[in-house]
Amino acid sequence: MKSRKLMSLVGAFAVLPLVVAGAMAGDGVDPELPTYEATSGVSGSIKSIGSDTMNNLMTLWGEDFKKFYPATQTEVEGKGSSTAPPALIEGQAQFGPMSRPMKGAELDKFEEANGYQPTAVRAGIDCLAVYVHKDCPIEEISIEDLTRVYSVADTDLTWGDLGVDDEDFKNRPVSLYGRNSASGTYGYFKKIGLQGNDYKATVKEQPGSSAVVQAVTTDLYGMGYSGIGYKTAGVKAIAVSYDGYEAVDASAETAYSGEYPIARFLYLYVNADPTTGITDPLRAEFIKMVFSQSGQEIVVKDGYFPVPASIAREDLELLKIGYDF
Amino acid sequence: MNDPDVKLDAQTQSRSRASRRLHATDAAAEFVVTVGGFAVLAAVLGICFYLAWVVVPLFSSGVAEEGVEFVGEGGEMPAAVYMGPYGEAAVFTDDGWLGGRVVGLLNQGDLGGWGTSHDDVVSESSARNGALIARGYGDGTVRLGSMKFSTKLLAAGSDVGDGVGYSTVLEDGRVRRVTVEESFGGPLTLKGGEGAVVLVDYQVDTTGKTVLVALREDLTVVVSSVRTIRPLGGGAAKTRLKETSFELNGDEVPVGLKVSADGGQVFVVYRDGGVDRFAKEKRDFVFRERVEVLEAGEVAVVEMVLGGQTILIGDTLGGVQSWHVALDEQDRFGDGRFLVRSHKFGRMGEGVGVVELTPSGRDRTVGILYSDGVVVLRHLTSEKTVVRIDSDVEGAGLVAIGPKNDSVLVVGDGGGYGLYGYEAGYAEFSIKALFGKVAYEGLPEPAYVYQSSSGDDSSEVKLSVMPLVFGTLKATVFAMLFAIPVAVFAALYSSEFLSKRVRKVVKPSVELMASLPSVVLGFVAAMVVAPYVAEYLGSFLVGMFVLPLGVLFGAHVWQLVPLATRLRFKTGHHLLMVAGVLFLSGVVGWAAGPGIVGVGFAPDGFDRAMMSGAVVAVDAERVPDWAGDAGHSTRTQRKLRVMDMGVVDGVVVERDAGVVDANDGGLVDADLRRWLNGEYGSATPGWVMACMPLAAIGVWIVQAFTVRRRIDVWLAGQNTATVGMVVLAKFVVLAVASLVVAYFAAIALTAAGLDPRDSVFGTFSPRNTLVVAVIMGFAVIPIIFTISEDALQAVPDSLRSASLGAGATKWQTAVRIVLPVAGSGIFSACMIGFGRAVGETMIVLMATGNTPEMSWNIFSGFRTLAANIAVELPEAPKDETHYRVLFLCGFVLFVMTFVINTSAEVVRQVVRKRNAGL
Repeated sequence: MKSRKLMSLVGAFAVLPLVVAGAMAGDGVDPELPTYEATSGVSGSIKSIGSDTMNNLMTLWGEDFKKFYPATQTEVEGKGSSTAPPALIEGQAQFGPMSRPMKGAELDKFEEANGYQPTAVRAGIDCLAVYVHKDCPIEEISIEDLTRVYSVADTDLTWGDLGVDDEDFKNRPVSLYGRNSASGTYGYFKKIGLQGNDYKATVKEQPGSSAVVQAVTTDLYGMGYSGIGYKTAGVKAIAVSYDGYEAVDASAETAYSGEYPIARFLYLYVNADPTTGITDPLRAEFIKMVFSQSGQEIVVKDGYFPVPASIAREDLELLKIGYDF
Repeated sequence: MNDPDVKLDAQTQSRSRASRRLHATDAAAEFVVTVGGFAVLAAVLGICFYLAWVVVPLFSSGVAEEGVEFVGEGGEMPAAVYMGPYGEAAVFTDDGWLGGRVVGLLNQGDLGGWGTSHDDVVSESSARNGALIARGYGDGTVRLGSMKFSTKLLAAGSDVGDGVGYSTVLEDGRVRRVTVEESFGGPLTLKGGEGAVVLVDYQVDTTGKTVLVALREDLTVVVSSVRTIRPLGGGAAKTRLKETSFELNGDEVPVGLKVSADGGQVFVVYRDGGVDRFAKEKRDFVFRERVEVLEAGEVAVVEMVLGGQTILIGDTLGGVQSWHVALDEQDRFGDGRFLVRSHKFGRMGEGVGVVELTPSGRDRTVGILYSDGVVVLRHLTSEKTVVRIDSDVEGAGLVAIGPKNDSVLVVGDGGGYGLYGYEAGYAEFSIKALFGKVAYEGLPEPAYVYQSSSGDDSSEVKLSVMPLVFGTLKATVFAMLFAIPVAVFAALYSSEFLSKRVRKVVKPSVELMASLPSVVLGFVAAMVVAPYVAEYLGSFLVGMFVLPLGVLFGAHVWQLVPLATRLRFKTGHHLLMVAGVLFLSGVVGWAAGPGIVGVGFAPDGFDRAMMSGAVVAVDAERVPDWAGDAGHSTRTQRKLRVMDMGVVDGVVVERDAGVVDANDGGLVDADLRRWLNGEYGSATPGWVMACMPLAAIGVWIVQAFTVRRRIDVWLAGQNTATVGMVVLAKFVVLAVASLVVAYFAAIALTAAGLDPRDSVFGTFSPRNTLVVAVIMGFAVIPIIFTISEDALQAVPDSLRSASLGAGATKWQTAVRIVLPVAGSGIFSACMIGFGRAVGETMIVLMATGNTPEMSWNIFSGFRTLAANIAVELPEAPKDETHYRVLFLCGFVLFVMTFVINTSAEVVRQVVRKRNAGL
């Protein structure tokens, strides 16, 4: 995966930054992406097992797909990104949405079973937001402080330790919410937000992305992390800084430019032999739909950020699916 | 009947046919029941064997496969070796770097190299971290590079392309092409220090930031960190570079220099075993600590384990140790951290020293090459020996572990090498790792931690099952504490005091409770009960005491009602009245709760002063001896608190008498949650609450042995009204007495420096054990109730009649005759309830935060074995260590339940035999 990412960056390096910047104006979908048109002969059922962060996305894509092809059926099961590799290996699912890249051990297991590594389709971009209650006075936090408050690198912290002066908050311990270990969000936040350290034993594990936000909504002294798409009116997402640089809000621009430290791709893993690519029309058309205007508009609708056409082209080429944009 | 000589008449014949039919039906039924019984037994045994079958492979160690050895044709030992995937090839490079040779080890020999021109300047030092390489040169420059193997699957017959590499033809004709991609940057000049670069280290942290540390000839260490921002939307990568430098202590040239992956700690290792630790303070590095790691011998090799937090030191006597940095509560070195040794592996034999150490790139396995050519692969966390390879390579000096943890390469001088494949087995598992305290990375001392997986390879897998077992026991103990008294006494009342008519209604209603699915119970607990308890904690806790007191009080008041009126009410009405009293007590408790908590947990003047900082240091003479100026442990602080003194920043302080009505830092009223968090307040109110039940029982026992006989004798001669009044008065006196006793006990315990907030109370979490215990009661109470009630009903009526006839009251009969006889059945019921509570999954899953912590705090969460299996099984790849460890959790649960149920059944049988004569 890392080499593919490197290759794609080298490829993207060739694209003029201006073109990219122009295409990425605001949250709009890249106008170069095509409008999807249905073909014939597509039917069957699609099963997706994997990320909870991408649960809504997969459901919405499935519904959209059904509009184009009424003979299809989509089943979505989102128990956490770590459930995707075993499902793909056992052949229980055609798509394995994951909010983090597969680790080496998972890639190896897949390779043992199939003889080649799985292909990662980059379907969307997400900012992992740090949520606090809407009445909480804190405005920004650094990755170093996130490591201290969430991980075993430091003891239990109060809001005062994070720089909050308000009398009501200063001496209260920070009440931490997070995901369980099956979640890709958990793993990704551990890697970047906690800089590899372990979570404290006192982080309360919630069963899903929306449950984390819901818990923070009801807990005035709570702090939680979840995808930016799950933001509600009862919480606010605070700005994040890293390494002494300015704190940056979660938005499309900061995600694209890489300034927001905890931005990530949302992956759709598929089992495709690299020599032949995806041959069955069901999955090929689904992926083409994901990389179309309607597919990326769904990404925006769900609160995430769409991928630019350059990334779409690269991934379609990897899967040997023809495209004309 | 079967005698052919006897002639049977019609009636006998039909009777014999009927009885044959009966016999046949009997035999058939017996057969079906026997088969069914054996089938059940077989199923249970089958489950047990399947669980054991999945778990047993964990205990096996790794297997070394056949090795391939290649004798060299002379030449020097390479400076570095990089193994390719699939254990087929490796790249050997020499000091000049720009020449590298790819060697295919499947007897393909040399496959060619690149860059035949060697650099004139030979590098003085090098470091590698996975694919990244750093080399330091004599002119004081550093060059960074990378060496990667990229794999491509191509269809049969396609063009393999250029580049150095090799192809393997797979079974179905496809070609797997592995190419070596190397790149090397231009020289980077270091700004600090002078002279050649003697030692260098290069680490990457999980966020992608790289840290380079270099030691120059004048003993200056230069640290530079590079953060690369890669735009996800495509575009140029931006890099930000930061550099700083510092001087070493003394003049000795160290033998090892390592930096932690987060760039915060630099370790300097000297030949005699001294290790200096420099920690980052804003932009500079400050010397913090020196440890001596060796008693004898010298340091031979220094390496950093995957993850960049632990250093490995191998010495000339064959010992290997690992050290990491952990939080220091006592802050002995100024930055709140200290070096702690996590693992120590002993020597392999006399005169055998460590030649080389290599970390695996996939997990915490390390490879140790000894001077006699033996390679031992050990997993650091579990301390398990994964595999041991006796290599015959001449002059073995380099060792490498394949990227997929499937092969080991040993390289000797003279150009020889050996490649050995191996099966790692289940390296993270060992009995000690699961059931003992393990020294994990980042922790100051060995502990029980469960953190089974994460999103990347470099995190340490922590598989200690002890927090889960503890959580299971905690949930069960608290649930049983709540459920057993309620269920057993309800069964007693239902069996002995209710009329048949009412019992016919009550028993099925209680059993209806058992029909509630546990998911619904868990959901209700999490969404309705937990927020309510969090909001009205004071009322809830006070209510728990007020309810039983209220019912008892109501019972005593009932005694005052004239006998004639009392007899007019039947058991159904009694139940309604009890319900009404319960409701009234609940309302009283709910209303009085905040008031009682407000009075009991109020912050006193000292607390207000501490919270607002209106404190002044105590003169040295008045500080008691045992307080001194030592670490001011929590126990000392609590004892000081009794004397109205506290500790701020290591100084003993007391309230500043000059400040009147100190601004209390926002704390105006008592706040139970803040008291529980330990933000203010002495331990006394907490101890009063904890001691009340015990004090009540104690007082009751004392009065039973001393005063009661005399009062009873005196009461025998009085009329009913007087008896009622006296008993009521006695009840009130006893209640007050238990409160007084509890209060004095609390004061004594507080003065001893004990605090319930260290054990049974503690920081409040909305998802806590109290809520789960009450809701699990819903699941467990019906079971205990039903079985106990049946046991009580089974006591023969003759016993009851005899007792009542001898003049005992209904209550005396129930408690002294019926209850003991039915004792075995009730015990059995409790054990079955216990078994149910141990295995309860959904309530725990939804109502707790699933936090694997080990504390008896009733206000914190926990994680049980069953909930752990439910949460983690979908993410465990089949047949891997994690998967099998989860089955081990299931096996432990199975054994626990089996043992409990079996012992309960044995006890029941024994007692039943004893009571058979009754």
